This record gives sequence, C-alpha cells and structure tokens, in this order.
Amino acid sequence: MKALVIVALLAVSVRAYAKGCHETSQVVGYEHCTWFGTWSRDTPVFPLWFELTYYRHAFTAQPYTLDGAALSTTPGDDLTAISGGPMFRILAGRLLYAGLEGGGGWLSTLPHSYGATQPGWGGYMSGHIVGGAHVVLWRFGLGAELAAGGRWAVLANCNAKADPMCMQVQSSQTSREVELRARADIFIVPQWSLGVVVGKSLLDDNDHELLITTGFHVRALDGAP
Amino acid sequence: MRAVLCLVLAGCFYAPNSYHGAIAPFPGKRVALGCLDVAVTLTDDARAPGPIVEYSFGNRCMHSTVVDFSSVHVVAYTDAGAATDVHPRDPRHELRPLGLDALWMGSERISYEGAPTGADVLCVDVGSLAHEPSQWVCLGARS
Repeated sequence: MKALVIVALLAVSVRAYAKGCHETSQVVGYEHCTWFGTWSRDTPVFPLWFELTYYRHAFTAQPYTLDGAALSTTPGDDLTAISGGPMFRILAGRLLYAGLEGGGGWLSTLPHSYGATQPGWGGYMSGHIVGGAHVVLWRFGLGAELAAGGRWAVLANCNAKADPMCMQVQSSQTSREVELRARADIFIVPQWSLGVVVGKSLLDDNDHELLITTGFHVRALDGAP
Repeated sequence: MRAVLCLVLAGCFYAPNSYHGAIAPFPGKRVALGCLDVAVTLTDDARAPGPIVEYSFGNRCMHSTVVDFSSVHVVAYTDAGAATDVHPRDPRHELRPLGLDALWMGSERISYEGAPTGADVLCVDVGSLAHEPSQWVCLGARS
C-alpha cells in the first residue's frame, strides 16, 4: 500500500512534465524524459511550474438590474457574490517569480439585483498577471504575491440550459482586480507541492480570495533559496 | 503509515542511517560519509553500455550537502591485477556538483568508459562523491 501511494505520487509529479515520453534508459546522458540531478534544487533547469487550483472568491458585485428597475445604493442591499471553481496557474522563477492565472465557475452566492426580478444563475471568469517572491526551507515554502487583472461576472434570472422554457435576461459586469496574497506550500516530493493562497483585494475591503493549489514543478523546489 | 505521514506532514524525508528511499532500500554496498549515506552497486541498462554504477544516497544532516559525481574516482581491475582509471560517460556534460537538501535522497546511474578488456572488478572511491577522505568500494565478480 505504502509503495503504491508513493509510486502514484512520484508518477504524477516527477514525470508529469514528461507525459507521453517513453523513457528508454535510466543512465545519465541516455535519458530522454528526465535529466541528471532531478533531486537537487541546484540543477540548472528552468524553474517553471504549473498549479491546478480550486478558488473561492468572495466579492461585492456592482449594482445591477434584470428588469430595468432604477439602480439605487440603499444601504443593506446585499451585493455579496461568491464564486468557486477551477483555476490554472503557470509560473516561473526562483526567489522572484511571475506568471499567469485564469479560472472560472459558477456563482454560488448571487448578489441581489434591483427591481423585482432576482437572479437565479450566475457565472464568473477571472484572469490575472501574478508576481511574487517565495522561499523554501526544507519542504516548506512561504511567499507573497501580487495579482492584477480583472473579472467578468454574468447574472441571469434563470439558467437557460437547465430550463429551456426560461426567457433569460442577463446582466454582465467587469471589474479590475488587484490582490495582495500570502501563500504557504509543502513539497511532498521536490517536484510536487500542495499549497494554500489567501488574498485580499487592494481595491475593495470586502473582496477576499482563497486558493487551494497543487503544483507540478520542473525544477526541484523551484530552485528557491 | 509512512505514506500517510508523507502526505499530511513534511514530505518523504530521508531517515538517517536507513539506506532506504521513498520506495525501496538502497541497493548495494553501504558507506556512511559525513552527511551522506551512500549505497553503490553494479547494474545494467537497455541502451547505455556498461559498466554502470548505481548510486543511491540520502542526506542525514539537517543542512544541505554536496553530491559531486564529477569528482568520483573509479578504477577498473583486470584478473591479472592491472588497474586502469575509468571515466563517466557524460555526453550532455551534465555531471557537476549539486546540493542535496537536508534529509532528502536521490539516485543516479552512471556509465563508465575506458575499462580494459577482461576487467571484472570496478572500485569506486565513494568518499570523493562527498568530498570526504577516500573510501573505496569494489564491485564485480571477484569483489
């Protein structure tokens, strides 16, 4: 059982970058899918990594209406929205890193609209440029990053796919986003990590984001100091 | 149990003196060198010519240590006792000193060239792998 679990971990992580590559030799200089020194963070391989992420983003939507009602800013109107779903991140760098991320999903909490027609369905997408710094001590990584980009949310009175009889009325909105984030990672093996990222918007006090990530690293421990 | 701890806690650390990797024990003869626990054995390969030495190593220290395959001294001996230095085949010029993190492990297989016909013993100065005093380990039919 132990061996199976570890073999699975290694198979997913160490060889993930080489999916489809058929290794014909385990000897240095004769390998196709790997290279000398994969066990060392000093090996001269570009420090690139990919993260598969689940995000949960809580934010305040802009006022909107689905029936032409006048928009007001009455205190107490609940414009809180929450979205969760998959996100993909690609990053590169050692101490300093940069990359791109994009994700999308449904709105699990829908912001109230103005007027009598309330939303029954919502979708969400976001994309950011990311820059940050991280260090890895033993197997533990700590870092901070800044993410800048935007989000797009669409709200509708009903889900037209689930209910073909629905006469859908939509409202969409876009917003700029700048988030400051802290991250913590644990490397299960030098090329595979699990992590948590917590972010807070610099533009909106009520905007928070949580990312649960698993990273696949070309270079052991990203070569981070 | 260890696999679960690997997942939940701090990764698959190398246990000092265990000579055991993530999956299996280090194969071959074992030598303790400063921070490194090293095991060496002869092996073969479908593509690379022999002789091939498999090195398995773990860092027993709480700090990084050097692993330097470029400095390992290897000698081939014939049945008559003649000694010949052999050299690693490194067509991509990959061999270089690298750091091994605290309580981590690795393995490499190196093919050597220059052994005379009839050489049936390969002796490896394992100490040079860690920049430590010489410790010779001989591998082969007569070792």
